[in-house]
Amino acid sequence: MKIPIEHPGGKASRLPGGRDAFPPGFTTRQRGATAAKSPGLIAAGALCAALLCGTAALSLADQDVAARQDAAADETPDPRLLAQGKRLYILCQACHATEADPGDKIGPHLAGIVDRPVASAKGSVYSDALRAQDFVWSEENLDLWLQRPAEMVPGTSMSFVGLPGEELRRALIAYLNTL
Amino acid sequence: MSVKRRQVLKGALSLSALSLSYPLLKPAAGFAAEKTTALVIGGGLSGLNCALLLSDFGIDVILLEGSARVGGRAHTADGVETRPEYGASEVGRSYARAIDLCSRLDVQLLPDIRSLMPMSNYVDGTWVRSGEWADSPVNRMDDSERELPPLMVGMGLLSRLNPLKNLDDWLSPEFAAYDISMRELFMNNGVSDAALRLAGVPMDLRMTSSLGMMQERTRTLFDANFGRTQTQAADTPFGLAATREEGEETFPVRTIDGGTSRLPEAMAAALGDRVRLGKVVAGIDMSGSDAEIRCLDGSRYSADFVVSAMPFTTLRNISISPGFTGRQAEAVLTLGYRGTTRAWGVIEEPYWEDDGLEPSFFTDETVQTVVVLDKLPGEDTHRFSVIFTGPSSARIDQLPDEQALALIESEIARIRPSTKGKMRFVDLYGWRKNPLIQGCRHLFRPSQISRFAREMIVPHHRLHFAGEHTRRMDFGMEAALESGERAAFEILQRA
Repeated sequence: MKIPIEHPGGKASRLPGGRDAFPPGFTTRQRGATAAKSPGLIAAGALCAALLCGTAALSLADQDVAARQDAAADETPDPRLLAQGKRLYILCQACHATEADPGDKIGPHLAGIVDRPVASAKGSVYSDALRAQDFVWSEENLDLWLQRPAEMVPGTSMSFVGLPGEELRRALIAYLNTL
Repeated sequence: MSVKRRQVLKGALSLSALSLSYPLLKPAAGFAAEKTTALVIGGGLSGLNCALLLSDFGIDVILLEGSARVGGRAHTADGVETRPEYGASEVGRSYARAIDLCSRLDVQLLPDIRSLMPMSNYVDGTWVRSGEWADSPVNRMDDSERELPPLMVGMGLLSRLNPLKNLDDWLSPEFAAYDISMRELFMNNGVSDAALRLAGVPMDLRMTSSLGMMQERTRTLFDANFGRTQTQAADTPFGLAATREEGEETFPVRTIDGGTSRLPEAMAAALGDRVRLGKVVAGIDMSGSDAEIRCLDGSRYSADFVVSAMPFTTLRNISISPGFTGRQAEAVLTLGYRGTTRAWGVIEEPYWEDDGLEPSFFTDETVQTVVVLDKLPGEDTHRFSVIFTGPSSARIDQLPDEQALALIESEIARIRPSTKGKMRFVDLYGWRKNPLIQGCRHLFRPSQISRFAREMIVPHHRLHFAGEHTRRMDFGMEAALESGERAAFEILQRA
């Protein structure tokens, strides 16, 4: 019997999402004030709030950056998007090496992660739940995974709560695509 | 009194020739504010990790630590025989950040192979060996409870009632019904009076949120299962489950070679002169175009962002402008903290050979737990540690250290005469008595998670929050590192 982690059968608990999940204290005034200082800060501030509160949905960030994104060509990644993705990687770096040698990091390396078959990095620790999967880490799958890993594959041993905001995930995946 | 005050002032003057030329009442006027992008207050693992990550991304950072050393609750007593760990010591197999930092900074991790020797129990004035506990007449717990060793009753019962699966479930309103005292949870679930009484020895059942403890059990279970193929029982008296599976090469729990302090020291060394010791912060003023930080010694800093990497017990002492409001103010002012007090020593002769009881023991009297650790190859003496947590820690901490040590020794000798003259004490440390920390850890009181666990870490103007009490998913050292990483992440998104 191989049960790495108990999990309610397919019923991953979703955290409360939506704008109304903004905590008191994170006021419109504050959001506005930060946004005035530097572009893209609405998304960042909202992301902070959402991450802090463990909320999953983030319409504010989506709208803001999606508007900017429409103009960007799909083939060449926007350098700003890449830079943002690199900064977002701070959430990944403790577990995942960017080069093919994982060193002492406890998660699999992410060199060539985009379009790599699931649970296929040699010498890495994977949960039985992930090893039982049969898919490729396409950008679409990465996007689904990064929303909330435990919801896509219950029983995963990746202890990452998830990255709210489609555009933030797009930035991170753009960066992952360069590895 | 006035003589003393003059002496103190004189001492302060001699430290700094600069302040001689300024009127005593305005010492601060002599200092220009030092500017930085991010100022981190607190040199424990959370603050150090935050500062390191920010500087990795090219952000100017200064870290202020109030005491004369870095590390906070990671503190190896280097000068003491047997070099006890006052605080954190265990690095779990899933402690990604701790493991990664050790690797980056050339700090070695060693398997924690020192095992705990079996534990007898002294309950209601009667000695009972561990193997006889379940059927002992002294054990008045119900049938479903009697297998639990006295020290494990509270955590054992809590594990049975724990509904959490994911590491962040504790923040979900879905489980708010568990944000009640452990006493209430146990009573609602028909726990016997005898079990309640034993569970209340190491834990303050009335002041502890069940939900908060459940998060820790869930995280501990996650660690025990990480990279393994079988579910482990994760109930251990202290810390993580240190059992190794047959044929398994890596140990589940590791410790830091040379002591836990080596990790924060290596982190501080990497930051160099950006770490300032002996800087107790008096105030943070964010009413202007940046944050102005003022220390007790009159030194000043201005920063775009400030990170509170202190426990709320210390943040409470700092004047903050604009002040906290609502649930966040409630959190800073009322978040619960718990003490842990330990005494350490060396066993001069194996007293258990005289009385036939097991080496370690639990008592429901003044001395809560005596843990004897097995010898390592090449060692000729056993080590022991006397552990007080929660209510028993609060009681023993009322005494000055020397008096507490003498009392612990005489109490142990009274209830277990075979120990007389065979336990040599070398040190005692109570975290509640550390003025810059005032407890070994946070502990959500009943209903506090629902009231403010989310709100309490939302950035307040330019002030961000780190520290083990602001963890979301992790436990122990890793919780501190996690929180520092989150605060750095928040600032990176704004800077």
